[in-house]
Amino acid sequence: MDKTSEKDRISEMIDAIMRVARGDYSAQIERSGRDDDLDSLAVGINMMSNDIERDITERKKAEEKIREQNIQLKKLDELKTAFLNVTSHELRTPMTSIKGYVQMLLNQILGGLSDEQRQGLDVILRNTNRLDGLIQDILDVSRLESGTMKFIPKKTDIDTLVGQTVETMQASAGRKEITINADIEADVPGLIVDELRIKQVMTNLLNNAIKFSPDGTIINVKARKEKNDILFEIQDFGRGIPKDKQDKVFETFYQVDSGEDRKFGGAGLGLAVSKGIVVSHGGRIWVESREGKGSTFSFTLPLKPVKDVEGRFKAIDMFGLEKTEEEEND
Amino acid sequence: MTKVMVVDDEIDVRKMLDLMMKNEGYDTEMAEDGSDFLEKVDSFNPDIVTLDVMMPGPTTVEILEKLKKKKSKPKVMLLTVVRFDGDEKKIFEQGNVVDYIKKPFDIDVLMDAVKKHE
Ligand SMILES: Nc1ncnc2c1ncn2[C@@H]1O[C@H](COP(=O)(O)OP(=O)(O)OP(=O)(O)O)[C@@H](O)[C@H]1O
Ligand SMILES: [Mg+2]
Repeated sequence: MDKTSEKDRISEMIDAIMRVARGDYSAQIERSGRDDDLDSLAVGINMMSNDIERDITERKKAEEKIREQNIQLKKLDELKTAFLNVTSHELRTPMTSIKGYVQMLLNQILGGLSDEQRQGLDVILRNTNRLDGLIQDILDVSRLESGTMKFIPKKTDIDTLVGQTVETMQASAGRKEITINADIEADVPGLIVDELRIKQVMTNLLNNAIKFSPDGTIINVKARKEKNDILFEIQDFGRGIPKDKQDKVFETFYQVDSGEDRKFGGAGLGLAVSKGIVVSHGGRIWVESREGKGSTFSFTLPLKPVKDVEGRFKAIDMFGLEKTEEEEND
Repeated sequence: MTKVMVVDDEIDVRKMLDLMMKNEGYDTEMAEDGSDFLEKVDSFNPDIVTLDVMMPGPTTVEILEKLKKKKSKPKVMLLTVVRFDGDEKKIFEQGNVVDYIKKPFDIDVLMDAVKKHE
């Protein structure tokens, strides 16, 4: 082969490689048919550009599929949000008139009542509130799972938050002669959180502590700064939770003793909702407990607020990161 | 006598609220949606309005906008199943919203609020 045609072949190959490098994978070199090194090189370049082209097409197809799936998921999410909003409205409306009329009757606005009538209406009101709480919890769980729960973070004073929550629980604690002690570290810094939602977490934990403790015991509530978090603890001296159930209690509808626990009127949603709220705020929640001795539920909230409160829980859930968080606590 | 106007598309809720208000000695009038309310508001000229959020017809923001152009200047209490954030509240409060009551409500909570804004 003469020098010039060899040079031409080489520059043709350089050309082809440059085209591939720039993203044009259609580059092909005509074979000389001579069984020499240059021809092998040509075969190699052709194979390379073919392979890359195939890979790229496959990747593009896969990307396209993911894009389509994302659009579908987003549509599904929007549908779910709309569904939840409608459900919420449709369930609350009948509750509004039931609760309103029962209260009017109980206040004897519409006439006097016998003791039996009053007792009957008390039962209706209590169960109406229970149903309303259940609806609220189911909606909250669905919203957390679809990442559509609305959070309204504001600067919040921890002392006030804990104090007010404990205050609202005193009546039900009192019925079992349970004393709640609150111990808030002096000068504990404030947080930017959704106050109502964090109160909801504390209320759930306190409700459980009261529910699963014998009469006359105490419950300790603590809050203190620990590294980059505020750590909250709710300690009871109740029946405790078996070791192998301690992770499960945070799952929706899970109850350790489904027969016994349901008698208290719960559905097994309180801890699932609490976990969703805490994780959304960038915190962690866990339990340490010994059967027959008592339980301590702890949760943290970061001093530096996370940016993506909404949807954070869902995102974490989807990538299965929750597991590692739970494992950390073992 | 303080005049209260009850706006709710659900007839059971509307009549119940009306009864609650009458029972407290308020002069009342009912409207079944935003348009009905805007039609009646100037002739009744209420001091307080309990306005349901999420009714067919005009949205809450639209109702409040149109109310601004009316002669009547009632205080508005929003009865709602949803929570509003700071930005939403800012918009509502420009429209004379003075309170938010969550549905279903405790009768005492509602009546205390009405009394406060009387
Ligand atoms: N402080 C506690 N001591 C002992 N067991 C507990 C305690 N807190 C929770 N549990 C167990 O965990 C289960 C799940 O708790 P969770 O708060 O989610 O549901 P619930 O209290 O049964 O119902 P709900 O909160 O929906 O009213 C409880 O049913 C109980 O078995
Ligand atoms: Mg509970």
